[in-house]
Amino acid sequence: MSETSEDRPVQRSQTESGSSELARLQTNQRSEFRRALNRFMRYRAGLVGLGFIVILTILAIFPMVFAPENPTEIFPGMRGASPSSDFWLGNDHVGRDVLSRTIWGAQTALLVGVLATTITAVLGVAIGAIAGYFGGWTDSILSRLIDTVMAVPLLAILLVLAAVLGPSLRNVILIIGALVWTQFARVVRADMMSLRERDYVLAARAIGAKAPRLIMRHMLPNILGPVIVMFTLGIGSIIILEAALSFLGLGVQPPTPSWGRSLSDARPHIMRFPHMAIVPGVMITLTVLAFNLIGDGLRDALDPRQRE
Amino acid sequence: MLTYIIRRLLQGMVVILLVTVFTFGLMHLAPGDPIDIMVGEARVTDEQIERIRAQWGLDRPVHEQYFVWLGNAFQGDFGQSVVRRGTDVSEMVTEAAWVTLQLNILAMIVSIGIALPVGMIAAIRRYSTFDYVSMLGATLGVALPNFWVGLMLIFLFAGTFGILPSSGLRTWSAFILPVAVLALEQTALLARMMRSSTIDVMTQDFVNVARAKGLAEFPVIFRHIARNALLPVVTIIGYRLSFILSGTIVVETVFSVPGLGQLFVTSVQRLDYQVMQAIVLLFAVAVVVGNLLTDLTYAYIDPRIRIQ
Repeated sequence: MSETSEDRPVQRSQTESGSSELARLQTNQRSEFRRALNRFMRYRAGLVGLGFIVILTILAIFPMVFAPENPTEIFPGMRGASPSSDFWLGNDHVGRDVLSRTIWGAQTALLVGVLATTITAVLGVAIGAIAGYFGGWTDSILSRLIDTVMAVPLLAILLVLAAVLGPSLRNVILIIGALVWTQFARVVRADMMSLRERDYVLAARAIGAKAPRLIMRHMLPNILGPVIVMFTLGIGSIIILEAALSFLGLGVQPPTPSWGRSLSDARPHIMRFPHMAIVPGVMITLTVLAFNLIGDGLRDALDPRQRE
Repeated sequence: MLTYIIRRLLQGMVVILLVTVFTFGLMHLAPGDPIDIMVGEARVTDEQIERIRAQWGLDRPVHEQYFVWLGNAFQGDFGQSVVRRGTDVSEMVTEAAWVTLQLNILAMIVSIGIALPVGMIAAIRRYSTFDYVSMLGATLGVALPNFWVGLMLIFLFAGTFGILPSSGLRTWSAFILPVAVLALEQTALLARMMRSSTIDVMTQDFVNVARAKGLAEFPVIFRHIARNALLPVVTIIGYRLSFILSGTIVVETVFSVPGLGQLFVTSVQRLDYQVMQAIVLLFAVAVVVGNLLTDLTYAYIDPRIRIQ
């Protein structure tokens, strides 16, 4: 990476008074953010991804404004109809409007993606931070817990839990959130272990800071970069998981529109009504691709060491 | 090295034990008496019920039931399927596992055969058209949901062109579509990793030395770069076993392949607990053993790992 003038830390004299200390910190914080932002803005694919997600989010928040029809309304005589001027993306196997169902499906996808990833991130960061900070027995126990969750293929365990607890939108979010945190935990644990020995952490401990403060104030802010990157990439993979669960009939239940569910509906009719399968599939791909591109851009911007 | 092997073996055993607690717990997580789960909707006499109760120790406290179940599981006895009356679970699972193994070994060969050369060429011809096109393909390949790709391939090759069967595995040509879909994500990921791994190696001193002493480009690439770049990529394949199994669950369902994945999905959908438990446990053992073998191979090839 080229070292431009703006990348260099601002040099200040040591004699500044206490009141300007705060101001100096703020400028520094802003400049750090600015530099990350500049780096992100340089990655054009990431910006395209961001644009797509912004549009999708607007559609997902106001589907009633943008969807031309009611997503659950059945239009008689329109069973499996191809795209027309009335129904731009055609109708599904029972005569519902594919475009409206796709727009409402965006709401489900983003809802599951963002909420489940949030649960995942909180759990994973907490477990990883505790294991990495305390080490010893705490770490051994938590590490075996991580290994155990990772030992069973994710989709298998999600399917089992969804079937046993009953599939629904809420359960899908909770189950995914409760199980996908291992990657966060592993990365945070490793980073915490290396941070623990740093001079500034030792210094903070020397002046009497206790574990919660050390973790929250001194260590976690330094691993925010990788966490944000994992969060963004996590949304994409969780959207695929939700779609896979719904495709197998154990995710979001009808009548809630979901892209995975639409693909599951399309499966028996794939030869006669292929348009039913094309649209939701393209939407899943583009959404996941967009989150992955934003994630790649953020990795370059926040965490330049961890480039692939 | 010996202490390392012993430590990893013990850790693996702890993880498998924890997984057995979870799989056993599943039957008790579900509402109702486990005996109802075990006999399903079949009409059974009180005498038969008593016999099953005694065999599985269902009249004893929960922790004793667990040990009875564990003992039976160790001997490969998971009881009988509720859905397919009178069939031993172990028999069903073994039969299906063979199909899954064939499919995934083929998929693995295909993805390694494509990904490694593509990744290396992309790295050596960095920033060339080949690099951009192949990495664009790889980025897309990671975002594509495999169940949708499967549906689209069925529509194209079984429907429109009518040259390949859409389901089952009766002829060799029926392997083509499921293997292609299984290999897709794997190929995309491995190609990206091979590219970055090759780039890492290419910039190292020993490569410069090889060139400086006048070695031709060909031996430099094969003897010095390829060998070292392969190491991290090949070992990562072992760690991906759990993702591969997740993939097989979806792909076998899409193509109605009578393997473990499809057996698992149907048993989950019909709440055939004994089959579910056996497959989850088998998956977990496979993943743990796979990771262990990978760790040991890695430690054997790369002495730096052992010392930690």
